[in-house]
Amino acid sequence: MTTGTTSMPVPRIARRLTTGAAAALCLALVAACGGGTGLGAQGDSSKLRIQVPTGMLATSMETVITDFKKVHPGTDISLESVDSAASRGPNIALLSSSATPDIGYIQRSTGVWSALLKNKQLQNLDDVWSAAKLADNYAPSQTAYYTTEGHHYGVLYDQLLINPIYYNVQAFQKAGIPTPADHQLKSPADLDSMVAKLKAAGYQGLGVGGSSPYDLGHTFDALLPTAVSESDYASLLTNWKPGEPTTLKYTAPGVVQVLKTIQDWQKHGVYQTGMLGMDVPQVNALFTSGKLGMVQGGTYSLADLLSGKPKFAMDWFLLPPLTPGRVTPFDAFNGDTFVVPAKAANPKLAKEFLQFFMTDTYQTDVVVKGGALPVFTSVEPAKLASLGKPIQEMVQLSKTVGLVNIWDSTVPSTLGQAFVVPLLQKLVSGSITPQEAAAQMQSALEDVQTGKVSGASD
Amino acid sequence: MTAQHYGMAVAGEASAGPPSRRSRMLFPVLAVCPALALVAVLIAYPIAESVHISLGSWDGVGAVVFKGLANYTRLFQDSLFRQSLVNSLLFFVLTTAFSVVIGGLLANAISRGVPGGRFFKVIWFLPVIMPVSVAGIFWSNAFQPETGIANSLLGALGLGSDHAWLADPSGAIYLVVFVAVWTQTGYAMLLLLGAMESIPIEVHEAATIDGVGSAGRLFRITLPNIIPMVGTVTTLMAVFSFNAFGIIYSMTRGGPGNATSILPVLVYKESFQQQDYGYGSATAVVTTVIVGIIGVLVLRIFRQQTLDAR
Repeated sequence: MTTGTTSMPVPRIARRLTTGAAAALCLALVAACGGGTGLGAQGDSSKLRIQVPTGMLATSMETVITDFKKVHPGTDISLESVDSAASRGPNIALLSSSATPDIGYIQRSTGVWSALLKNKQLQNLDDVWSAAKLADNYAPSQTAYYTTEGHHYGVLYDQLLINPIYYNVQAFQKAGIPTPADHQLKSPADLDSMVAKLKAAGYQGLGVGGSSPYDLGHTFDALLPTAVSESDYASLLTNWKPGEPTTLKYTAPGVVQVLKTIQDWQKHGVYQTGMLGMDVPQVNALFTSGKLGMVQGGTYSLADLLSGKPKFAMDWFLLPPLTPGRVTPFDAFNGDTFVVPAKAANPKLAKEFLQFFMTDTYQTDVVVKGGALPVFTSVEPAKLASLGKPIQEMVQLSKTVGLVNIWDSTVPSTLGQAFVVPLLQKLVSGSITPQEAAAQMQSALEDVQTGKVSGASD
Repeated sequence: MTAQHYGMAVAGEASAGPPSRRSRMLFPVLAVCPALALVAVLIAYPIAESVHISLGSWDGVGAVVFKGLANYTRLFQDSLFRQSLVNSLLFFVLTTAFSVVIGGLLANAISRGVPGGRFFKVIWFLPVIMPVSVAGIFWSNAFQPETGIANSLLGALGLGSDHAWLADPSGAIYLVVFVAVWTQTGYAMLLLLGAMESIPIEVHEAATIDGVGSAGRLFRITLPNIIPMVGTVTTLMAVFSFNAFGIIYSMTRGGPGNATSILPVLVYKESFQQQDYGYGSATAVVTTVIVGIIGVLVLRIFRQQTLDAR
């Protein structure tokens, strides 16, 4: 009895301790899991937080912000930068949280868009589209790309043209290479010949940022539309979606030819020495230092190249077509997107800002000044003067050779850029054959179609 | 008698006497509670959540869709996982071995009073305080053909300046091992130096009088006395090596192909590039288990070595 009376209080204490600790743990968990409303969700109707990609756009946005404040006096607008790597993945946590900015930046081609859309984390922007007449201002393919079950959840604000090859004019003259007519080559043999002459003149050939997570994929993007028919190319852009027909497998001769060409260029010494160990900034530096004859890029890279202060003039051409008689089109990247997250504190003000921003005026004053191409078809070519003559020429040429949606940023990342770039690296290093690479691509497509790989579903 | 006596004593305590043993434990238990709560929230919960996500499909938003062990089944059939595992083990063995051995030799040199020892101690420790991303970018540039400083030096020596090491799938892993050793060795050196300097100088003096040479003192006196610290340092280096995401991602991003992809790089790519957090978490859980096993094995080996040394 005595022992019993003395032991009774101890379990009670232990129970109280356990209960207290459990309660404290639960409170901590609730706090950690964001059970509260959070600062962002409380909302201050005069505050607007806008997420922008790192780079020149953040600076050029000041114009529209100043103008918007004149129309909405007392509005406090802050810009929050997100880098490319974060915007392709980790940004999803922020945009789906109660601390989200009012306007978020997303690359439409990444799984971030798909996951947010699937989980109803994006606000419907039909009213912005309607007020800004976006469907009239975009190309039909862009409108289709941004329409999900008849509704719009994002605003495309710029366009990038992928894969012009910039070249050193003086190096070409020294090597005796004629200027490519109409910025086109006739066949891969032309490129081989150019590289041989450049090497004889003391230059390296074509610079590609082989260790960057996108550049080698752009080579594939440039060649693919020239190796398969237009309808097959269109099918390759959509056949990963449920119910979409597959008219061409990745093991088809056209795709294998693209892969073989990329591998052959390594074997023939077309790329710079150590291509797989160099990223885009390193290869751009090699080009502007005058050691490389050519470098692969896009409309986005001209400003970077010029900032390297090259001591030579630059011109450009497109990679050769793999089907004789065809011309190489431009790849268009239509991924830079503003969205209004579902948990945005001030969705009304965010939508008003987007409507205010998406006009011809700011397509020129913000987008073009930010170094990108306007997405509105109505913007006159003369307004692109600040981008430089090469970019104006590219826009002009794209009207004749055509624009196609870029493959590696249109298909899901499990098949596109994140998958194919390491595969191309293995191909170029000789670890796998073009046929094996093609089989792996087909297998990746089937994994997406059957749902074996999760994420990145649209 | 004893029980009765004990019971009486406790009964006395309950009324007015000194507190019982269990009552005396109340304060320590209460004192530990905040720490336990923090451990639960900051360590146990994230691990449990990772395991939870690894058992399902999750793209970063919304609820996890339970899939059982499907991610683990897929993991062990995935050639990329196997390649990353092999890379991780190779990277861990080489980096740990070289970091500890070189760190030990440097510490011994300083401990034995090599001229300029204090200066070299600072110099060799500098890479440790350099951010790994900076180190990665520096060495990535240094190893570039023609323009990199390493190639320039080789070129000046007539050994060629166009070596493309980072572009070579079979050689790139050794280059990142070199850089990882460069960043970790100073840390190993400092810890081992501390242990070496705790050995009384008289022991070395006595050994010297007995005619024991430098090598003999290292193997017969220094090493047996610092075995516990060698174990700790080896464990730390092993964990650092297995989790060396920063240095690899800043240098090669796991490439060319997947030639330098170690498990943490694979976790990052699966989770953040492909939004396949379920599969990425399964990879992370397996990686954690492997690191745990390695850590326990290393500690057990060195515990035995310590006992043998005694």
